[in-house]
Parts: sequence; structure tokens; C-alpha cells
Amino acid sequence: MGEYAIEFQDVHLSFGTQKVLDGISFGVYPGETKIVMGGSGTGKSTVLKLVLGLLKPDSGRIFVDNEDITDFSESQLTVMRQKIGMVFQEGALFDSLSVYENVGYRLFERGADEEEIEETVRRMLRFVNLEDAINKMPAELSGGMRRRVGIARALVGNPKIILYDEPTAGLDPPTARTICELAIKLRDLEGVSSLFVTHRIQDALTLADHHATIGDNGEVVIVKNPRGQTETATTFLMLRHGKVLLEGDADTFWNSTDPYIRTFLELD
Amino acid sequence: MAKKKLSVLDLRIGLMTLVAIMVLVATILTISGDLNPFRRELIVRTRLSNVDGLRPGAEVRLSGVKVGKVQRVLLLPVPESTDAAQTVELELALEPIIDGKPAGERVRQDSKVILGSVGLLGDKVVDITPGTLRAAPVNDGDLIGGASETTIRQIISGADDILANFTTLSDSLKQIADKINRGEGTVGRLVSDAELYNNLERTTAEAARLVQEIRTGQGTAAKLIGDPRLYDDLDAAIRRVEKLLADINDGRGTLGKLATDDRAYLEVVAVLERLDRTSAKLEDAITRLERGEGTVGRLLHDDKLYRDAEQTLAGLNQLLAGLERGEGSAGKLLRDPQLYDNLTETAAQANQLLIDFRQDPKKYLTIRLKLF
Amino acid sequence: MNLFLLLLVELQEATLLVWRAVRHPFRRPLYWRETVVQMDTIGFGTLPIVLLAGFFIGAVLALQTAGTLRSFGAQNYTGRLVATSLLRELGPVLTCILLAGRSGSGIAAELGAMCVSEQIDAMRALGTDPFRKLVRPRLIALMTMAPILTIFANVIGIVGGLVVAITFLQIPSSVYLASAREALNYDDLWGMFLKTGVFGLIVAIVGCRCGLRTRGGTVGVGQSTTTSVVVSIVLILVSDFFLTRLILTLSGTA
Repeated sequence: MGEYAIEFQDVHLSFGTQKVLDGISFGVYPGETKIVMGGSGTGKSTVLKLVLGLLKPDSGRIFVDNEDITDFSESQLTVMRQKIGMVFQEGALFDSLSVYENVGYRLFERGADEEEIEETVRRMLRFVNLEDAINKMPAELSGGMRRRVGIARALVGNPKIILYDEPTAGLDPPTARTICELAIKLRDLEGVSSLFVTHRIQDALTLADHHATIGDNGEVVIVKNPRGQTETATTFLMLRHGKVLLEGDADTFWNSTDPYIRTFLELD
Repeated sequence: MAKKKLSVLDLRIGLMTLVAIMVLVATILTISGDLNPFRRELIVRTRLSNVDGLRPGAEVRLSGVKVGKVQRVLLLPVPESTDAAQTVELELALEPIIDGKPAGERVRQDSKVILGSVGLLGDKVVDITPGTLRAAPVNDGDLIGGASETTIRQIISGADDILANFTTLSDSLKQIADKINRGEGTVGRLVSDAELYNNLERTTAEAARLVQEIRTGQGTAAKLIGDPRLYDDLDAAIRRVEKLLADINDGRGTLGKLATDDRAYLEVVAVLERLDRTSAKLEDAITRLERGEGTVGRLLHDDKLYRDAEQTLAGLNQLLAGLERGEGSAGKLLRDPQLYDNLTETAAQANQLLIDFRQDPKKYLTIRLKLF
Repeated sequence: MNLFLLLLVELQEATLLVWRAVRHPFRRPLYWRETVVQMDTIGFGTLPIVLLAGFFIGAVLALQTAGTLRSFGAQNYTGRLVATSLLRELGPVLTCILLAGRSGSGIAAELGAMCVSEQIDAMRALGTDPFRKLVRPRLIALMTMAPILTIFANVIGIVGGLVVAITFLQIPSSVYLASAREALNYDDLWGMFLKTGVFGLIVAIVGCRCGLRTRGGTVGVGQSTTTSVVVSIVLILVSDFFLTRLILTLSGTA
């Protein structure tokens, strides 16, 4: 129990009469990126919300960074959330605030001074390549840009755990790829643990088959893995009907014999 | 939402709040009665037997002008005997300066406190009489005397009958006046019926003419003299007149009574004056007659007049007979003492009623105020 | 769940909402800026319509009552009647209904939109308590601005009555104002504060509650907005009855 960054133990959750999670158990090692897959509406986002404590399970236990957060109070959760950054579907930016104010939100709330905030915000926006948008309003940005700003916002405060909630949904392939590359950068260069929820197999492929390194000039380069070698830090979690269908590394996933998974893979 | 916009917002809200607070403060001060809470009020006390629902905060007036408020209403300890006059003490807070003079000088030791009510809704007020210069000025805390004044309620309860009687009386008077107006009843006829007077006038005129003719012994008159029947009639008429005059003289009959009454004399004088004027006219006519002018001149040679005179005399006779029997308006007047008695009686009663009324209006007047 | 249970749950949620908003009043951050912004939006923003409505209500009151009073020969009491009606009932109730319509629905819509676009969740994920950042400023703003706006409404209402009295009713302004002044008393004042405080609370709670539990996208936002206005107004009117009873009993004129 001590080694996981995130751990679920036999978690059950129902919304009304509908059972969304039926005995989910898994673990995420520090530095590991677990790709959570499954059809739409299978409770993938719910898992993320449980990690954040936005929802409470009906039964079972949840551990984040070695702490049992299942029964945490709101104030305890607030403290715990400092370590987690979440990227929401559609970005979930505060539309009455500018990009600058969005990204620096955590720091504003904490009452840090202007210089520190600006410096941090710029750094984060550089990471997602959106430094020019610093004073724009969310309404002026495209979907992809909003997601990237969302990532930048989630990164402020240097969280050790990042949760991605379908960050590529509805985006065109090049933009989706950009998002995935950001995730790769974070995984390989910053060493964050993450749960990457998606229903698109392309994302899985991208994440599994690439890694990020520092190139000769000092900038970040995304490199495709040599044939046959997949990222060991990337694992898969397949959910179906509220249960875990498969949990394992990439090879296990690609070579699975389960008909459902095969359908998933062949849809690609 | 940059920081600098905050100051504008701050300002607007601050202003609103400030205005609201000022209104509130002004309201509170208004409620407590004066805008200057630091003025020293003059406290005057009084004791009454009953305050009839007066409450603290009620108006205090000096000769009807508002000068302060009732500050406290205190019940005094239970008195020894039941006929103690004073059981409630009032503390009246007066403005320190009333119309330029200190309140202490406006209210004197012999001022009296009267309770009253205002308006239909019965709000209670305290009225202070100004007192006289003979008494000393009042100091803070002094006691002045109280008197109770009848309230509207008392008047209402005590004056019930007066209005009813008043109504009845006025109704009767009204009826009488109506009758007079319509020419009904004795007096009415007299007042409204000009015919009687006209008749009298005509009669007198004719009589004068007749007499004149008799005197000059001309024409018809001569015939008159020659005709015994006419003379007999005339005789009878004259006799009747004599009797009438005798009656009048003795004071019998209405006319007689009237004759002994000064007023009637004055009126007769007036009538005679009229007769005078009429006979003047007659003289004129006779002159013309002598000269043989006009209709009458002709008449002298004309039978017609004789016949007319005959008729007139007959008519006159009838009239006089009627009068004597007491027919018609004047007849009734002449013959019927009862009427005169009635009139006198009525006048006397009316007089008495008025005297009574003046002595004790409460017996007669009732004010019944019915409120919805 | 039957209706009664539903109501109970709602009551519990509303209480929790208030509790979460007001507990730890001195813990940082205090969200002053948000509170001030809300006070401006709610207070200053509603001021024009409150003034307008107040003026005409006062005018209509004077117009209507003068006729009846005249048949008692009491038209000089018009000022008093207008002032008393405004102070006790029409001022608080109408101002707060206007607030419910304007600010309450705005709050419900704003919070509802944030809810369906996951901004509330994002806020929580970023370590901010939405109750303290969103609900509390609005609560404070409404409870402080409601009495202030009511005071403005009352004043302008009396002025409206004054204008009518002078123009149409041939009541001299001194008479009107003197009789209006007579109507003022402490009981009405504290009664007004009690009522506006309670009504402001109602509008804030209903607005926030409806907003924060919005589900179902834009349709849900629309529904929340409507529900918030309707429920606010109904609760205001119902509580008005009980508060009036309470005030009259306590002030001894019941």
C-alpha cells in the first residue's frame, strides 16, 4: 500500500439506481501514467472525481499519496488537492477571467504577489505554447487552446499527480497530438503520476509509442520509441460495465484476447 | 475586474450605504420627536381622575397650539376614599422655547390641563389653558391643575332628545309656512288672496260714489231717493253696518278684537290712507261728472247706472250679510272669535316653547350621530 | 421520495449551504473583492428599478387611498397611510421581490452555468471552496443591500405619494409630510430590518441553491433560473405573513 501514488480498493458507486462503479481496484505507481479506457459513460470521469474527492464512494477505499481520503472532510481535501492537478473536458476555464487570471488562479487564491504569479503563468503558458494568449478571454480561444490553458492551469503549483479527463475529445488529430505530446513531456521530463482518461485508441498509441527527451539544442524533442519497445511507465486500465476488464502494461493490452478489447483495437 | 475598478465600485456602494444610513438616522430622530436631542424640555405635571385612553406620545397643546408631548402616564397609588379626584399623573414635555418666550412663562401656575380628542378617530390630546399673568410662571416639575372637559361622547350621550324635538318643531313650523304659502287656512288666504282686498276696495269705491250721488241728488241718486225699495235695502244695509260697527266697538268678533288691538288700528289707518287716496281719485271723477264728462256723465242720463247700482247694492248686501254670518275669509275673521283665540294661543305657546328651550336646551335637543 | 421528504432534504441542503458559506468567517482568503463586486451589482444595479417602482407605488397608494379617506373626511391622513403601508409592507416585500427577479435569477443563472460547464468542479479541484468564494459574497451582499434598497424605496415612495397629493389631491405638502412623519415609529423600523434581512437571506439561499444544483446543460440553467425566481417570491410572501404577525405581536399592536 505504500508504493502507490493512487490506489483504489474495491470501490463501489451508484448514481440513484444506476451502478457506475462495481468493485474497482487498481493502483498507479509514482511516475506512472495509467491510461483509463472504456466506452462513453462507463464511469471513467467518475474515477477521476473520486480521486479528487469531488465524489465519495458508497463503499471501498481510496488512497492518494499514501493517505486514505475516503472519509476526508472538505477542508482536508482542499489541502490534499494542492498535490493534484486536473484537466477537465472542455477545459472548464472560468469564463469571466482572462487566461492570465485562470492560469494563475491557485496563486491568486493563495495571495502570492504579482511578480511571482506573472512569472509562473508565463512559464506554464510557454510549456503549452500559448504565451501570447496570456491576456485573452476564454471565449476568444479555440477548443484546443482552451484545453492547453487548462493544462497550464492544472500545472501551477507543481502537482505530483495529474488527472486528464478526455483531453482530446472533439479535437482534430494534429491538436490532439499536441495534447498528447504535452502529457508525454510531463510524464518523462517531470515525472508526474497521472490518470489519462480517454476513449480514443490513437491517444493510447501515441502515449505508448513515444517518449520525450532533451535534444541537442536543449529543447524538448518527442521521439518515437524503437520498434518493439514500449514505454514501461505507461499502463492501461480498461473499464466495462463498471468493472475492470483489464489492467496491465501496453503489451498486455495490444495482445489481449478479450473480444471487447479487440473491437476497440480494431476500430482504430 | 482589475484592481482599479474596485475603487469606483467601492465608492458607489459606500455612497448608497451612507445615504441610507443618513435617512435612517433622520428617521429615528424624527420619531423621537425632535431633530435636536439635546434640548432641555420643560416638564409640567398634572393630576387627573381619568385620562380616557391618553397615551405617552400624545400631543400637548397650549390654547390649541402644539407645544409638546405627553412623556409619561403614571397611575398614582390607590387613594384612601372613593371620591378622590386624582388617580393619574401626567408628565408633559414642553418645548423649552415657545414662540420666542420660555415655556415657563407661557404656562402659568393657574393654567389648567384639559383632555380633549381630535378628529373623528378620537385621538387624544392634552390642552393647556394659558392662565393669567397674575399667577407665577411655571418651573420644571411643577404641578398644575386639571379639569375634565366633556368629550364629544358625553355630549352625544346627553343630548339625545333635543334633536328629535327640534326636528318636530321645525316640521310643524314648516307645515304652517307651507300652508300659508299655498294660501290655505285663514291666514294663508289672507296673505295670498288678493281678491278679498280687491273686493273691499271696489266696494269702498262704489260706496263712496254712491254716497256722493246721494248728496248731490242727481240722476240715479234721485231715483234712489224716489225708490223706496232701494231705500229700504240701503236702510237695511246701513243698519247692518251700524250693527257691525257696534260690534266692533264692543270688541265682539274678531274684527272687534282686532280694532281694540293697536296693531290692527295701525293697519286700518293704513287702509284708510289708501281710501283717502282712492276718494281723492273719486273727487276727480265726480268733478268730471259734474262737468258732465266721461262715462259717468252719460250715466246720469242713463238708466244703466241705476240698474248697476241696484245690483251692486244687492251684492254689497249679500257681502255684508255673508260677513255677518261669518262666511268667507273676512267673514270668518269678523265673526269668529275662535280663530283669533287660536292664533293668540299659538303665539303664546310658541313664545313659551322658546323660553323653555332657552332655559333648558338639553330637554329639547337631541343630537344623534350615527356613525356608519 | 415523497414531497415531504423532498422538502426536508431541500431544507437540509439549504442549511448546509449557509453553514458552509458562513463558517470560519475569519479564515483567509476573505474574498472582499468578490463581496464588494456583488454588493455593487446587486445594490447599485437594482437601485434604478427600485427607485422607479417605489415612486410609482407610492403615487398609486396615495391616489387610491385618498378617495376612500375623503369619504371619512380624513384625506389629510393620506401621508400617514402611504408612509405606513410602505414602511411595513410594500417597501420590504416589493423591493425584495424585485431583487429576487433581478439578482436572484442572475445568481441562479450564473452559478448554474458554471455548474454545467464544470467550473465549480474545477474550482474545487484548484483548492477553492465555492461556498466561500461564490455563495458567501452574494449572501452578504443581499442581506446588506436589501435593507438599504428598501430605505431608498420607502423614501422615494413617500415622495411619489407627495407628488400625487400635491398635484391631484389638493393636499398641501406640509400636511402630507406632517402626517407622514407621524406614521414613523420604532416598531416599523426594526420590523423593516427584520423583514428585509430575512427576505434577502431567502433570495440568496434560493438563488445559490438552484444554481449550484443545476443539471442538464443550458436547459437546466433555464430551469434553475425560473425555479429560483418562483420559489424566492413564494417564500418571501409566505414568510412575510409570519413575520408580520411576529412583528405586530412583539410591538403590541396585533
